[in-house]
Amino acid sequence: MKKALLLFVVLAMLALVSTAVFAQDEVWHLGILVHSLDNEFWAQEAKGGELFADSKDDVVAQVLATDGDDNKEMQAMRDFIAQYGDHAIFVTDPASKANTANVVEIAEEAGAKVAILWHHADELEPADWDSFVVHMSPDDFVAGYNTAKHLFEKMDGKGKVVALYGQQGEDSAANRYAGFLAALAEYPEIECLDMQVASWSQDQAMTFTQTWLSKYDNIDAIWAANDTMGLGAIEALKLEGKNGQILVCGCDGIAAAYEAIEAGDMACTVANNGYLLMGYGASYAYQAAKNGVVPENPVIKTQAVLVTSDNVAEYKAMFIDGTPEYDYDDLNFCVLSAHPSFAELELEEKLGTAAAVAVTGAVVEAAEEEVAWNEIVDKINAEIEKGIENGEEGAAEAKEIVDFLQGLYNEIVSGEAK
Amino acid sequence: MNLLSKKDVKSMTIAEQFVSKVEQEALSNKIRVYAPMILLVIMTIVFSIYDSHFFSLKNLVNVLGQMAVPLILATGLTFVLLLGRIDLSVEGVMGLVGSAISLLLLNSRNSNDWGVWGVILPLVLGTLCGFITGFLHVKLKIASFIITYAISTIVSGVAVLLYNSQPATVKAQWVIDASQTYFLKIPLITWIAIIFYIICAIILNYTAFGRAVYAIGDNEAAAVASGINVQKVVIEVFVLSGFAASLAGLVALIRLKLGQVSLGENQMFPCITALVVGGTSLSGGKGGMLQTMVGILIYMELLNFLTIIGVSADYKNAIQGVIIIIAVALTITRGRKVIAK
Repeated sequence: MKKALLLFVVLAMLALVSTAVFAQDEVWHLGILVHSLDNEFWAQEAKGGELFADSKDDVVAQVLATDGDDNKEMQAMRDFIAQYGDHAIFVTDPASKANTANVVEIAEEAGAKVAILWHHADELEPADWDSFVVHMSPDDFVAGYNTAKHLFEKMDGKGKVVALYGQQGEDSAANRYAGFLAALAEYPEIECLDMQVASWSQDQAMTFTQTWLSKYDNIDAIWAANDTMGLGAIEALKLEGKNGQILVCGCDGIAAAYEAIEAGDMACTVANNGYLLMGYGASYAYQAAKNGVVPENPVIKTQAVLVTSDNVAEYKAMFIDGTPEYDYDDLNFCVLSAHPSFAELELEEKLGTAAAVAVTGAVVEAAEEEVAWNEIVDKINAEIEKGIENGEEGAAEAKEIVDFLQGLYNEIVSGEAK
Repeated sequence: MNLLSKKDVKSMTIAEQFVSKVEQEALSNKIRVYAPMILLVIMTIVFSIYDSHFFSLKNLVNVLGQMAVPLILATGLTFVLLLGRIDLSVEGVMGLVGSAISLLLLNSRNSNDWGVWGVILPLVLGTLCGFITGFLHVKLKIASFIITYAISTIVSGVAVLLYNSQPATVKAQWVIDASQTYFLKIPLITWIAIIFYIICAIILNYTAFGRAVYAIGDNEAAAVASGINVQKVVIEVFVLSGFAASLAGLVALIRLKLGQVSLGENQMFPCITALVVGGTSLSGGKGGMLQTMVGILIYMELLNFLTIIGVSADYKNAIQGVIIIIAVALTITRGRKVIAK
């Protein structure tokens, strides 16, 4: 009887220990890597990661601030992995573009899954790595384009505009400005008087705007690449009582920008939605680690909303006064557009969507079936002709590229023939 | 002529060499004091001729409004630089004080409305930061650039905690009025800066404290030997710099209304550059309030002019850098150590 009891106790303990170990296995530790919490948008991102973790019973989140320092970010990841092994998962707004390569390597070594937001090192493709699950970012080009377009529509398509650029050497700043220029090209009667680099700074933006106001007396709108600079421009306008008369836009969606829109001082901003970005980034990493779910198109542009006086109340209530509720299991919810790789995304930007699909499709097909060069070119040309007929952007450029390739091919062939 | 002067130096007695060195020193001192002023005058004339917008009343008022924050910071930093120290904490203190004031006055984040105390308490807090910096620097003998950097990161962190990553917009009517008040066409915030500057100029030039600052900066050991309480003076200078940073935080908040750490961002190095361009030495002992004003004016005019003529951003930084190097090269005192040390 005693032996039986002892056996029972031992078995019970074993069961307890094994469930404990098993339970341990079931917990995923989410490392949220952000620059710092002193910026409203970064704080929103971190909160998004935490909201995701709160929605799952088996995820524990920890915010790891990197201060934008590459080494700090790498060290934080290594420490986290040392603690939790392959049950560590990461979502990161990386310290720098270049450091994303290190982030992926460290994660790959430990078998931990990572979702990367905003930046990526050149030629670092999610498809090439087990650990690099997904790359997500709002489309900065679209944001710059939409805010500019909103301003231009309000100007009835004519007048003068000035532009406040972000930080030199940053992709976000460059892409937003490219969007602005693309919109500008659509309005021949709108002239851009000047562009200045205000480095995301409210103080510098205010200074530039004051100088502009003393130089030009016919400015109709100020396009700013982010909210802080937009708010700086508005302060300069207030000094001359021109707030609300000269249109100003922002981008990012910080609380003060929503207030400025409510007050009629700002025309529009784009809610980049850090909650959605980091929350869903974490969800992708978690789904990959737990269920092996890998997105087919891992380069994702996320949804971002143009906020104007029409919808400001709704989004202020959702993003500032409260926190949005998302179904993080519905991974497609956050997607504006998804692409298999950065290479194809770039090709699409250069060639136009249809031509890019045709080129990659034809090349892949050719490689698989060992079709001769001429047949490939014929196929591509046929698709490009279609693209030109449909007025597809970039199709004409694609034709040039193909002609160039054809010339090169002919040269090589004739060279060999000699 | 050259040969002759070389021969002269060789044949000089030690006393004559000393006199000639003193004369050289006096000459270079004159260059150091007057070259920036001449540069300022030439710049103003050339800029005005080049683009008529530059000398317009509206633009000058703008420049005056924009120089309020740099002038206050630079005034405080003048004392620090004259001691041969540096204060990297001014940006953090500015951010802390600006954020604290924005949260204590009527604002968009909470229901506080402390009135005048909402300004005074943060100013005291910022000044206290200066005292702590000076105290730790003197008592623990930590190099000023390390201790002030440490304090800067601490106070920025505290500031972010205060507003919990979501900066408050000031709604108090008097702040809004203050940003739009002008006397004699000059913005109120610039008057605050000018009054602070004048008080500090009097302190530096006409008090024992001011003379002690120069003495310590020139030769600390000699200052100790002559009975100056160096530790006390150094702490007092950091208190003054802390107060200047706090005042700059208040003025920046009046200007921008949004209380966040970035109020102070990228403010310090332009000020130090302006000081050096004006003719204040980084190694201490040389310079003064007049140089500070000249340096700030040169810096602000240059910045404004480059925007007015629409220089593209790519060239702007390069042009600024080149002009700074030229200005510093023109004004630096060479061979200062020959006699002083």
